[in-house]
Amino acid sequence: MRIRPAILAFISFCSVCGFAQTPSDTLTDRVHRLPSVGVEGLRTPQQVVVTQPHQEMSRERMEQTGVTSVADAAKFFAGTNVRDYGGLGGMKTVSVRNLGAHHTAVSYDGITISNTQAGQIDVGRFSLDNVQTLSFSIGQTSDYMQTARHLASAGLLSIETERPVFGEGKPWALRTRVSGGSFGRFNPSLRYDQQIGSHTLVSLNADYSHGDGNYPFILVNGIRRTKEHRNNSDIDAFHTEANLHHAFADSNTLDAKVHWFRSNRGLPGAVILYNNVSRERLHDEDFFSQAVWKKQLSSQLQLHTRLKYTHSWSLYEDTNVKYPDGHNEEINRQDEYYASSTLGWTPLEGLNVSVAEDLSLNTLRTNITQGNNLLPLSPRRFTSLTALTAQYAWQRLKVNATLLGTFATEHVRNGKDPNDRHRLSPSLAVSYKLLPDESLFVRLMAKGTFRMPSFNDLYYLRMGNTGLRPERAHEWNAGLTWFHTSQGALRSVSFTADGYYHDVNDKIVAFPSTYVWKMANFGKVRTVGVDLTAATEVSLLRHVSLSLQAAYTWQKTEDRLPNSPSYGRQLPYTPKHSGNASALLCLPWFNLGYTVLMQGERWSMPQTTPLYRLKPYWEQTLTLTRDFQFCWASLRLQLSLQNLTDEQYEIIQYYPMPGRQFVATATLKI
Amino acid sequence: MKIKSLFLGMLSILAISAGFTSCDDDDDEWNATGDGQVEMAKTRAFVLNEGSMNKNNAGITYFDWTTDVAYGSDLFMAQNKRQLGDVGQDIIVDKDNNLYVIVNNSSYISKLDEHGVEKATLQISESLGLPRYGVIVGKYLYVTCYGGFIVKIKTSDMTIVGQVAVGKNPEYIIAEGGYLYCTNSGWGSDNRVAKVKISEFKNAEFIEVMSNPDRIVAVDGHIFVQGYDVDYSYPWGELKADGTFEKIGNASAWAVSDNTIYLALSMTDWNTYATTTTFATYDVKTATLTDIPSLPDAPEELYSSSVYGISVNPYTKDFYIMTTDFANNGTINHFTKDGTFVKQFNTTGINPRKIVFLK
Repeated sequence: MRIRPAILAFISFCSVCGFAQTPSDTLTDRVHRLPSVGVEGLRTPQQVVVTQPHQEMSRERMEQTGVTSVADAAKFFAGTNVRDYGGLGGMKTVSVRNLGAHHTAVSYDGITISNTQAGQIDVGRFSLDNVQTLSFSIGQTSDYMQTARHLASAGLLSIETERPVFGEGKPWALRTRVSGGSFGRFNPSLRYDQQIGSHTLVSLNADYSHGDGNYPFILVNGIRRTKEHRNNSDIDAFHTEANLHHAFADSNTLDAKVHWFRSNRGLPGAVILYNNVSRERLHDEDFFSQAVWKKQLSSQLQLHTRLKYTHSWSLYEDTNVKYPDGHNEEINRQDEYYASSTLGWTPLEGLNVSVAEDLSLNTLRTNITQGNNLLPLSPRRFTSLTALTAQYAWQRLKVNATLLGTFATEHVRNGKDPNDRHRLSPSLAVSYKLLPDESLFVRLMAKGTFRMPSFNDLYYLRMGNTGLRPERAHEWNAGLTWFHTSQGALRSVSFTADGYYHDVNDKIVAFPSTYVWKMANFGKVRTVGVDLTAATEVSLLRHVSLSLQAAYTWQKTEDRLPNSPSYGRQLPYTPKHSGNASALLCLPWFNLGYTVLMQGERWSMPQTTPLYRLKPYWEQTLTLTRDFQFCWASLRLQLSLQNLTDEQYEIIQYYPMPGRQFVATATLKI
Repeated sequence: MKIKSLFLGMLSILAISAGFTSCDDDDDEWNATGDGQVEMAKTRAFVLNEGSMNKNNAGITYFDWTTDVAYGSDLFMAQNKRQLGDVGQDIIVDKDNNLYVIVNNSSYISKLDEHGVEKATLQISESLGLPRYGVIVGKYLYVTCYGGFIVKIKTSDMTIVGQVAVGKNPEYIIAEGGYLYCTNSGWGSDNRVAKVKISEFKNAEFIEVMSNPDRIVAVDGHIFVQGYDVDYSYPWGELKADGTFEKIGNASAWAVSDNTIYLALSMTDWNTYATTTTFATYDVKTATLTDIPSLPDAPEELYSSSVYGISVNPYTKDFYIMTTDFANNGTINHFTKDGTFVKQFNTTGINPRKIVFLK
């Protein structure tokens, strides 16, 4: 309520300015770029050419279809399974084809983010504010100069931030944005770019977001249907980032950044019938600083070197009479020291060979004590990853092969060190262009990966098990991709179809025992599935165009553990059918974006009974965008109506998702 | 009008006579449905299914203990048209066949009639903490609450009439010799049993037993305590009259029948992930612990399943071993008093932990 007058004032200020524009630049000069993947210049998009399934979403597409977070964007990629606990502050993790979120690496401007304690990344904490492109690759990407860590996981969600772009003759740019909406959403942000000399660019951006999170939902309990509100679901978060891009005279480049994030949020927990007391809070802070240096050593040799330091801190607190003094605090501190180097060699046209070496040291300090007397374990892990990559392109054939070696050793202060771990993980991907003049490809991919047990898996109070082995995953993929352009109204069509078989062995699960559960290498999971994507661009009239994208996934993810009572049954929270579609209609007056996300029925337990059934849902969003161009600035006004049918649904049982809500955004660029 | 009043008069006479006759044990007068929807045998039993945390899936299974035939769906939902809630912790029956169900994470106690139809509820406030276990003494129900209290509840109108502070995280509670005894687990950091005189209900005395005590039971004037201990080995033993504790064995579940304690110990080998359950009995009169290597005709999987509870039918002395895999509906294994296997059947919920038997 406090926010609304501010937004209205801002919007009316902007519209007053809008009158100042001359009639001539209203229609003709307005730019309605088609923001979809690879359509600019109509070259064949990455997702069709590459040997592994790969999807991208641009900043424009996200903005104009009302996507407001990295997690929401990830839901539009075929083959992802986003676990969303609801609300702005609710945890959101991305899993590749149900292998589990631990197998997904998240990369931020070329360097992966790690969380050795939890083993998975909560993508909810990334702001979309300065994101340029979000891409999702199954297996790995085909960039042979990437880090070894990028090659080490089963899937990669890659966030690329915006680089400064300046108008003619102006060495600086300023962008300010205010966004507000239902349930106390308020999100102002500021970005400033400056060119220093002819070789250096700096940018600074900061954003704050707040949500009350007290959204309503319908609770169904037997014959009762009551309207409830989410409780203790508020969040305040602050991001800031500074970037430096420097091009040396000899065309070598340096990109460096400092990133800081802080949040304070309520953890509402599951909706508990008849008891809505919830007092758990989480405060967390994340700082990292990274630098990427790219050097061309000779016409055949290049070297990329990266350094990163990360410090994360979290404070979990709970107030409950069950604690000795009515209050409990758990503090965790993680540090990571990371260095990576990739040496690439192009001995002849079409052949690229590289060797990448990553070294990292991860530490955890915690105040959580083990039982009465034992001190915290304070684990420390040293990891070395070495990757050899060879890429060969010959006529219509492309081959991409990688061999990754991992060595990890660990030390704990009080207790027994787990065994050192060594692994070799191979991968091979091939694509072949079937016809010489048509972008029609077949692709095949096989990859073996594993994920290390996290510090929580190994050491967490009572449940931890230092005897754990890494969890192994295999991916097999076969696909067909096609891209076609024409001069007619139908400007382009693209289509991809992939069938796959994935399995996970030695899956790390909480193994149930009479009273004390323990982490164990016990699960065995098999997934068979099909991912389909399609996209098209249609020119309807001279200034009217339509861009359509759709994705569909069919998956059968089964428990394959012999003698398990749920053998052969679909795994909890894995829909058989899921899909999405988005449409962007560009008109001379405004742009209209529409999205729909759907999931079929799922169950929260291995039992497929009505008590554990989550009903299918369709979530739809409508977004209206209008741009104003002034001589000194440009203004974008947006109104997005999210979940417009007020669909009541859950992704995780008893964690209701928000119903209908609006988000209004004004962006001013100078 | 006259006919109607005559008819009503006859009805009331009938009702009064029915009222009288229902006092004796005449099976003909048993009302199979009562205020509910489900037809029940008078020889009925109610299984409390704990459910799994944060899934709101606690529930009750009804079965006829003469036939071991269970009603096909959750009884609480069938009778009350709503879910019982999150984490069914304890079910207690009083001498009038009223049932009291303690729903831990939903923080309330439901009073049900002898058909499982809810008659009253009592929400437990945040300042007392979540309710755990209860015991009936006369017209009062005493319930342990995690904030460190024993709460005294008048069963007639389900109101709280008193409370006594004990250690944090009190668990099981019993009444013996004019005293209430409850274990104080302290969530792993306490090692005591609290003792409160029922007539005064003022202060608690404390007796040290073992680290992280959980269960407590009284048999023939003896008090026995079971717990986790620092190493999660589930020791149990006797809390002697002189205030000392003497370990007797290891058990993760137990039940009492006359002067015998039935014991089960389910342990998981963390190298093979195999769970093994062993059984024993303890004769309180002779103080002898006897291992039971096998129960006649028992299903083989019983020895590799996690036992979640044992209950004894006070009318037949038959005992029922409840097992769980923590994800699927639980299993009940019925044995006669001498340990011969009778029948196995499934409950309608996850983690069955206790059965109360009515007649």
